[in-house]
Amino acid sequence: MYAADVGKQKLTFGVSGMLWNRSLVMYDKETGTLWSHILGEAMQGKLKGETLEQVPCVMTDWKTWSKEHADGTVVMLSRSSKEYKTDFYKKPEQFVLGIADGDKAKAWRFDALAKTPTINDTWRGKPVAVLFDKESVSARLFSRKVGDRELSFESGETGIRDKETGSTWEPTTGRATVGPLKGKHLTPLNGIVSYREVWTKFHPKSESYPSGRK
Amino acid sequence: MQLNLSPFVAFCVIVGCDPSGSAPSDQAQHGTEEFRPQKLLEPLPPLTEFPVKKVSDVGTDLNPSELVIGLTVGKESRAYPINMLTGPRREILNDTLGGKSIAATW
Repeated sequence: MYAADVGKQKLTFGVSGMLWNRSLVMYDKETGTLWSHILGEAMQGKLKGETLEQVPCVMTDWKTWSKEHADGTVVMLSRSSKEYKTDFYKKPEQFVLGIADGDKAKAWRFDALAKTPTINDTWRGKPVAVLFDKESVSARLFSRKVGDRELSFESGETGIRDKETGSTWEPTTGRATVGPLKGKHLTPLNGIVSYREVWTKFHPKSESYPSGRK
Repeated sequence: MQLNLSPFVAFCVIVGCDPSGSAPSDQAQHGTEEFRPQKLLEPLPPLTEFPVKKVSDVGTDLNPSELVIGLTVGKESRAYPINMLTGPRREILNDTLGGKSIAATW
């Protein structure tokens, strides 16, 4: 999910008909520049070297999203596939939640998240948490800073709580639903769900959680 | 989002391009690897118009277990069902949400 503006120019993207490393190459109608879909980088053409701003998003199921965003909208086209349901993740070891910035990258494996649905970690020296919802198979990366406070999370029978205040947090929205921080939001970061194999191909030096296993 | 084994790649396999591609994976290094895309199709026109519904009007048009990409910008939220984004004629929707221009892709 990208912002379509580069500097003051609004770009309109289309499918170029090309693949690079088995991944989509986009073009923009305004300049004809070719963009790597997974990197968000201009690879060839007038805007080469530019990077698209990622917009934080979540991949979750319709049940969860529609409950949490009942006043929102949804794009409705005819279906072009049927396979993308929660059972798409039957082999969780094939998937990661990854984040990349310049030459740094880190990825958290879905099989690890299925066992430990809250991971307190750091990214580029800043405290972050991966929160995972097993039912909807949603993984999301957030900053652990709320105001001046740094939180750490744990999961239990009643959901995900922070150890500092005991507030309960919704993993897909980052919203505190119960407790002293009720109504506060964690800041989402640009984590993306990807096949582990594809992630490693585009980010071969990526750190991995659990460590030591690519 | 970037789940890349879409029907587009299936197409790539069907038409017989080598899925290991032009660059062996052990040479792949972000930022240094040569950009050598393989052309499979003619460029497709950007998608700028598509129907949008209110969540409250969807009813049974979506299955509860279907995956969506969800986006919130300011006070506006929109879901993009992945089963409606696959295929070379989809993949990227040029959209506006909360006043921000978005390339909705996954």
